[in-house]
Amino acid sequence: MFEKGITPYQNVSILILVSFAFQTLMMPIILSEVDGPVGWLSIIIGAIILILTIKPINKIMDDYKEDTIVGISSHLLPKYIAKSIGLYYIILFIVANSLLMKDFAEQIKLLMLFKTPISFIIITILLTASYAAKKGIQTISEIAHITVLIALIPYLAVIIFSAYYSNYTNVFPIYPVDIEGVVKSIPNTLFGFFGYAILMFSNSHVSKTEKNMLLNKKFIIISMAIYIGCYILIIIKFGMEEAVNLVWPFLSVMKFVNIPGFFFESTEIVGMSFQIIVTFSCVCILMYFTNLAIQETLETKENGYFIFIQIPILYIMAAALPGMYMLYPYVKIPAYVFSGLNLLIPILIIFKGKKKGKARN
Amino acid sequence: MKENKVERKIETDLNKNIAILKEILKDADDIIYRRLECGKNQKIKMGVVYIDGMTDKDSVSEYAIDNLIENLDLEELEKNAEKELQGAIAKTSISVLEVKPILTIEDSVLKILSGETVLFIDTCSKAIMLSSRGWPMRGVSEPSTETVLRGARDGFNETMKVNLTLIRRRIRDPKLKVKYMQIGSVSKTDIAIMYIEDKVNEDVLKAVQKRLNNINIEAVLESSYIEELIEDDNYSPFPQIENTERPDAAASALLEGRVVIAVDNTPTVLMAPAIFTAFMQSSEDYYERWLSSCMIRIIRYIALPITILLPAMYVAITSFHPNMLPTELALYVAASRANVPFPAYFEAFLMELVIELIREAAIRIIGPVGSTIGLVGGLVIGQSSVEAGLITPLAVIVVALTAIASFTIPSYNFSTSLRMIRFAFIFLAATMGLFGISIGLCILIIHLCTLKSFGIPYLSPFSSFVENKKDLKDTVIRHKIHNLVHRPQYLRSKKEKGL
Amino acid sequence: MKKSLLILVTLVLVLLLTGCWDNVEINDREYIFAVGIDKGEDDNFLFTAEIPKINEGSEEERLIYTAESKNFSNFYNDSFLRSDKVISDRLMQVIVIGESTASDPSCIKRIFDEIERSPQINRRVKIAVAKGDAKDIITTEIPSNPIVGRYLSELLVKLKKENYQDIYTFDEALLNFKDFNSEMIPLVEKIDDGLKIEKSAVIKNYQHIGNLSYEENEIIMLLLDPSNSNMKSVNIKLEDSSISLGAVSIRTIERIDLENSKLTANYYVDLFCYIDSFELGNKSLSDQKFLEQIKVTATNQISEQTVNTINKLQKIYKSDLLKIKDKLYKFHKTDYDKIKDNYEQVFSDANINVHYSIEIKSTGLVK
Repeated sequence: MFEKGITPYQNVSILILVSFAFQTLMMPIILSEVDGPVGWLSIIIGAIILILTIKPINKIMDDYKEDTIVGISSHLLPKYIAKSIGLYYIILFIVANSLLMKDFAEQIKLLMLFKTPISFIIITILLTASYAAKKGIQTISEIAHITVLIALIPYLAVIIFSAYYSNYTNVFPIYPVDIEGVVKSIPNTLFGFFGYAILMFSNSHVSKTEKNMLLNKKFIIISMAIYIGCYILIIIKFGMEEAVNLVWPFLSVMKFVNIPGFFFESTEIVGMSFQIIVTFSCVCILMYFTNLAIQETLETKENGYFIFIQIPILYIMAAALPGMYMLYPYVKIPAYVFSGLNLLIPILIIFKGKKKGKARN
Repeated sequence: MKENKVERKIETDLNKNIAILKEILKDADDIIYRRLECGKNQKIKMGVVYIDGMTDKDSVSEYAIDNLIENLDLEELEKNAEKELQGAIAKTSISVLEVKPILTIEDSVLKILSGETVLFIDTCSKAIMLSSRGWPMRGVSEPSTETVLRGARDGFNETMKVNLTLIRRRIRDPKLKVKYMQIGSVSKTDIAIMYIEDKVNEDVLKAVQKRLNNINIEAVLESSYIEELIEDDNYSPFPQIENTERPDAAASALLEGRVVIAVDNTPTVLMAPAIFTAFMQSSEDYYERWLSSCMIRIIRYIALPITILLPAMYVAITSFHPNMLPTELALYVAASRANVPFPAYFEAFLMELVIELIREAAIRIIGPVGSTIGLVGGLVIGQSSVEAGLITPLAVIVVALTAIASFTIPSYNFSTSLRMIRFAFIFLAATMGLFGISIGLCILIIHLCTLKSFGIPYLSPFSSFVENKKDLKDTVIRHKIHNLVHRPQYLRSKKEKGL
Repeated sequence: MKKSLLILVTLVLVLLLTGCWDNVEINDREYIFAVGIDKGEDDNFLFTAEIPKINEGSEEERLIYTAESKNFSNFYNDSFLRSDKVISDRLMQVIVIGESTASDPSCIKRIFDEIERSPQINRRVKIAVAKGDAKDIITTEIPSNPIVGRYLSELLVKLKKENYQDIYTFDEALLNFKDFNSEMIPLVEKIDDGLKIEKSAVIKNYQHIGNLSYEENEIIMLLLDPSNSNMKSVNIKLEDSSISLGAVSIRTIERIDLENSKLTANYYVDLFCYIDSFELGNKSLSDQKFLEQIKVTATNQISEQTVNTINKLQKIYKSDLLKIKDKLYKFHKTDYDKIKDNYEQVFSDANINVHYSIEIKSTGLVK
C-alpha cells in the first residue's frame, strides 16, 4: 500500500540519536586523554575523516541497492571474510548496547532510584526495548524521529541553560596544543560517532536512496556540532581540572541548569527523564540492528527471533559487569579496536568495489 | 454477506401473492393489505401492501395510485417494466419520487419492511414499488456533544437520506460520489460511503469497501458497530476512526480526501482514516481568527500531557523525588500530609475514581439535577475529604486540574482513552517514580507509532516531520487559510493542491 | 498476539513483585537545612544538624541534632537510629565549617571530598566558615527567621548578588581550590540577636590561615569583578567636614605581564562616584577646587587601603586571591609553564599597582 521503507530524515534521526548516546558515554575519556581544553579539535578531525569516506561508500551502496554492508561484502569479498565482518558487527552492537545500558542504569540508580536493585532497572529497559524492536524498522524509525522531537531537542535546550553558572574563559588556553593527546583521543571520538556503523545497515532501508549521501554528511555535521557543544558546555562549567575528575560530566552539568522562573529545583532529574526516552530509543535501535546483522550473517529469512536471544546476553553483560568507573581503563582498548575496524571495513569494501568497477570497465 | 436464498418470483395471481406475503409476515399486525380496483372501467385489481406508520399517506392515496394505473399498459409492463413505468410517471401529476419494478417476493418483503409501498397487480408478474417513506423523525437540531460558538448549528439526525442531503448542500460537485450498501443480516441497515473522486486515496477507499464487505453481523444498531468491525487494531485504547454529528466536519473531511460512512438510524457518521491530530482539532479552529486558533490549539496540546501525567507526577514527586520541589513547597506539602492516613498513590487513585463516578453519574441524571450533581459532588466531596483529613488539598487541586484539562480535548472518545491511560501511569509512578513514568511514555510512544489507520501512521505528521513539514501548519498551530493550500501530505491523496 | 501478551504479563508480574523500594512518603522524611561541622575527638567530626519541624501552624520550629561521627553517612546512620523518620540531605541549604575544622587541612579535604562525591547533596549548597564553633552558629535563635539554614542561605545569595563576597556555593569553593589553591569563603559571626557576614576567611592549601576585614574584602572584590562591583562608602575628612562618597559604576583595565619570572600587574580603575553625605548649610561643593581636593583625598585614602591589602596578600598570606594565575594560565601559557612550580614566590615578588581615578558624577538632589 504505502512505501515499505523509512524516510531519509528518519534515517538521519536514528543516526543522530545513537551517536548522541555514545558521545555522552565517551565524554569522560576524551576529557582525560587530552591535556588542555582542546578535545574539540579531535572531534573535528574525526568528523572530517568520516565525511571523506561517506561518498565512496554510498557509491558502492548504490550499486547494491537492497543490501546492507554484510550483503555487499558477501558479493565483493570471499565468503569467510564476509562472515567474519558480519560477526564483527554483531559483537560490536552487543558490546555497545550492554555498555550503554550499564552506564545508563548506574546513573538512574544513583540519582533517581537509590534502593532499587540495578538488575530491575536493566530488565525494565530491556523488555520495553525488545517489545519495540520486534515491530520492525518502520516503527523504530518513527520512534526515533519522534524521540528527537520530544526528548532530544528539549534535553539540549535545557542543558544550554547551565551556561548561567559558567566561566567562558575556561575554553582557553588553546595554544600550545597538545598534539599527541589530540591524536590519541581520535579513536575515542570516532567511537562516539556510532551512527557511522549503523548507517552501513540502515541506508539500504531508505525508500529514496538518492538523498542518502547528502543526508549522511548532514548527520555527521549535526552530530559533530552537538558533540562539540556538549564538550564545550562541560569545559566552561567546570574547567579542565574538575572536568577530568567527574565520572558522568554530562550529568553533573545537568545539576547546574538554572532556568529563570522554573520551579523544579533539582533539574538533573528532569534531564534524566528525557535521557531515559533517548536511551530507550537507542537500545531499541541497536537491538534491531543486531537482529538484522545476525539475520544477514546467518542468511536466515525469519524476522525477529534473534531479539529474544539477545535479551539474556545483554542482561548478563550489563548486570554482571563491574561499575562504569572501574571499566574505563578497559573500555579504551575495545574503543581503539572498534573504531579502527569501523573505519577499515568500509575502506576495504571501497577498494574492492573500485577494483571490481575497474575490472568491469 | 448475501445468503444463498431461493428467490421466489411474483405470481400472476393477486390472491396468491397476498397469501404468500401474509404467511411470511404473519403476526405483524401493523402491516396493511388493501385491495383496490382501479384503472379504466375499474377493471384492474390491485393489492397495496404497506406498513402503517412508516409511509407517507399521500403517496399511497387512492388518487395517486389511480392516476398512475390509468396511464399504465399492463402488457408493456410485463415486457419492459422499467420503461413502461417511466413513461407512466411522466404522464402523471402525482408526486411520487421513485417508482421501480420488483421481481421477487423477497425483494418485495424487504421493501415493505423498509417503509415503501408495494403494489401487486392481478395478472402481472411484476410488482411496483412506490417510494413512500415517511416516518416520524427528529428535526435537524444542534448536536449536543459538539457545540461551537461560531459555525453552523445543524446536526445529523437518524435518517440517512437527510444526512446525505446536509452534506450535499455543502459540496455541490459532480465528483462527490455516494455508494450504498446494506449491512446486517437481520437489520439490513443502509450504509452510504461518500468520497470525492479526484481527492480520495484509492487504496484507502478500497480498504474501506473491502472491510465493509467482510462484515458478518446480524444487526447494526449504531455506527460504532461498524467502527469496531473495520478498524485496524481493536485492542488499542485509541480510536482510529473519527465520528461526528456535524455536517461541516464531515464535509471538511471529504474535502481533505477522506472517506465518510453514513449509517441509517444513527446521527453519527464515521470518517476514515483518522489520526492523532484529527482528534485534537475542532471545527471551531477554522472559524475563528487564525491567531486565536493558534493559541487555543497550543493550550489543547499543553492540556494533553497534563491530563495524562499530572496525577502520576504528583505521586512520583512527593514519594520518590521530593527534592524536585522548591523548599517551601516541599515543607508545606509534608505538613499538609502529616495527618493523612493514605499514601500519595492511594490518594491520587481514590480521587480519580471519585471523579469518574461523578462523571458517569452526571451523564445518567437528566435535566437540571445533572449539572447540580456535578457541582455538588465536586465541591462537597473534595472539601469535606480535606476537612476530614482523608486527602490533602494539593491532591484535590491536582485531580481537578486534570479533569479540567481532559475537557479541553474536543473528541469525547479520545479523552476517554486518555482517562484509562492515566490510571496506568499512576500505577507506574507508584512503583518506580519518574523512571516509571518515562518507561510508560516509551511504551505509549511505541504503541502510537505501531498504530495505523487504514495504512496511514497514527502519529503523522509528527513521525516524519521533516518530509511532511507542510502539514505541520495545521497541527499545533493553525496557519492562515491562504497557507493551508496543500492537501495533507500524509494522506497521499491524488490532488496535491486545493483548499 | 500471544507473544506480546506474554511480554505484557511478564512486565506486569515484574512490576507487581516489586517492593517499591524507593517509595517514601514526603512526610516521612526529615530534611536537614543546615549542618555545622566542628572538630571532635579522635578524627571525628561534631555534626550539628538543623531540621525544621513540619507543622501546619504559623510558628516555625526546628530540631537540632548533634552527634560525633566520622563522616556524613555515619551521621545519617546515627540519626536513623534515633528518629522516627528518614533523614534526607536533598534539601540542604547551608554548610557551616567551624574554625577548628577549617584549620586542619585533612579535615577540609575529607569533608569536601564527601560532599563532592555524594549524588544527593546538591553542589549548589551554600558554604560559610564560622568564627568560633559552628555549633554556636547553628543553634543561634534569630527571632525574625528561626530557621538558620534559610536565613544564612538568603543572606549569602544577597551578598553574592551585590558583590560583597566572591564565593557562596560549595561548587565555587571546590573549583577555586582546584584551580587556585586559595580562596575567600564568607565568615559568619554571631552578634546579639543574629548572625552577621562581614569578613571573609582566607583558605590556602586547604587550611584557614587568616581573615580579611570588610574594607580589604571590598577592594579585592573591586579588582576581581569590576563590572558588578561597587564601593559602598568612602569616608573622608576634609577641612573638618566629613564627606561620604559612593562609587556606582567602575571601569577597570588590567595589564598583566610576565617576563622572566617577573610578574607585573597594573590595574587602571575609574570610579564614578556620587556624594552621599556632607554638611547641611556648607556650600563648598559648588567650588571646583573643593571637589578636586575631595577627589585627591579620596584617591589617596583608597590607594593606601589597596596597598595595605595587596601587601597583606603578597607578604603575609602569599596567596593569589586576585586570580592573576587564571589569566596567566589562559593567555600566557608558555610563560606560565616556566614559573608554575614557583608561582607562590613569583606572586610574592610581583609588582602589583592599582591606579585610581575618581570622577564625581553627581551630588544628589541638592547642590
